[in-house]
Amino acid sequence: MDTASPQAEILTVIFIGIFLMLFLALAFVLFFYFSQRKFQAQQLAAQEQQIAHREQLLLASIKTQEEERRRLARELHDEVGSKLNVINLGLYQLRKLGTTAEIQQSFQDLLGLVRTTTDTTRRIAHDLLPPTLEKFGLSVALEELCDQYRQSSTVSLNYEFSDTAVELDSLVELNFFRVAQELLSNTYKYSQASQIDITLALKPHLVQLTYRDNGAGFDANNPTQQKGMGLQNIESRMRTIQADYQLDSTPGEGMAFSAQKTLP
Amino acid sequence: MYQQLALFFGKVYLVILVVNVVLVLLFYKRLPSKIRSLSFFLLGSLATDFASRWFFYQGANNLFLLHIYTLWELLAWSWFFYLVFELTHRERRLYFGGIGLAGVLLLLNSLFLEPLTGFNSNAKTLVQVLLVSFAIRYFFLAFGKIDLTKPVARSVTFINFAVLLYYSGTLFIFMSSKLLKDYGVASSQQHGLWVVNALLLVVFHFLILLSIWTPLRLRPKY
Repeated sequence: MDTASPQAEILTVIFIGIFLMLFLALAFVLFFYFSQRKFQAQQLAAQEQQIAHREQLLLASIKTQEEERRRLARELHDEVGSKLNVINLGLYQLRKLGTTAEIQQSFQDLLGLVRTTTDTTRRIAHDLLPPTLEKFGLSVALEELCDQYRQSSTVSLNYEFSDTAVELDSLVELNFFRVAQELLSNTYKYSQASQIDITLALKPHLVQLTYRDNGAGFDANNPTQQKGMGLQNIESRMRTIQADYQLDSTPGEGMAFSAQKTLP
Repeated sequence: MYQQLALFFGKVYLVILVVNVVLVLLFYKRLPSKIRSLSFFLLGSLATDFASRWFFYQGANNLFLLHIYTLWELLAWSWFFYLVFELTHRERRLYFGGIGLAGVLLLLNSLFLEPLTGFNSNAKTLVQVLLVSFAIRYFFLAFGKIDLTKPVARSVTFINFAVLLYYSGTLFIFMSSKLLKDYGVASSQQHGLWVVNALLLVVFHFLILLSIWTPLRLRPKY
């Protein structure tokens, strides 16, 4: 009968020990690695879900905001505006009955007040939902918007459009208009730009909007820089109408935005 | 055959170690502080390897180097784990107290128990058990808290993989080296053990190479 020498026995025990330890260490390493990856994937999925939920909320709030603006604009125009007109007419009628100069003056003041209130109401209703957008379309509404900005500042605003009489969906028009409004508002508020160029191209199957300013700009590539509410709104609006968009900006070199939507 | 294999893996390990040292020295400033702290260990390893080869070719006993290297290994890895663990004030005192005590035990062992001319199995076992427990502690602390897509976290994890695999794999080799001598196991019969040690050293230094390379490759560009 063969008996192993004590030396061989001890070597076998050591080898068994080595491989056992190695097996345990390797199992531990693999368990850690795969569990960690699984855990990370779950975390990522939860984060993505959270982002999607936040985006849905934002889209819902934009939609509600638009509906509310539309309702308010209509109420102001149809209810308040028409009633102010009735008051105006009534005051004209009553003025004829005024005998003294004091009464005539009071009527004059009241008529002036009613006129100012009517103008203010019309302006608010217009800001809430430009009638030009509904009546004449996006290109004219943008022209009007640019005129308003030109009148209130010294910034050189250049607007060009090519319109091929395309019938646009009202939601697409409204969102492109709001994006341009937001971009202009951002430029005027934060960028100290001296030049703004806007181009709108309405082609049979494509709407294209480009916007460029030479202002302060910001680091668009820095992921740690939180996006402001305005930029988030722009992105959400573009996603709402499934338009492609790109935003480029470098500190000190202005910003450029372009968006395009393919039409059916 | 085992001897040739051990020599072959010994050469491969040495090449990777030299590459690691060169990389650490070349990109010292670009490396994150945790990875940079490996330079102590790597330089010590390379110096010990060259010195032991030199003594070997001179036909002199080089085992005293193992005693020095074990102490160096303890101190260098302790510094690395100190940077990784981010300890509180109280934990820091305990940690350095423990490392200091282990260092003193190592010295006492070399002075009174295991002479400089022989293997220091006790000291090596103590250091290896400490390092394996540090690596396991890292994995418990890191689970669910690190992002493996981030270069530093990935590198530190690679290093801990290396420490866990090498030091637990070779624990029995160093623990039993004195025992083998006492049992009269011929050195020719022990070649198989040194093949395992050399192979694990290759894996160990390859993982360290990955940990140095990862932050260099994934470094953000500005």
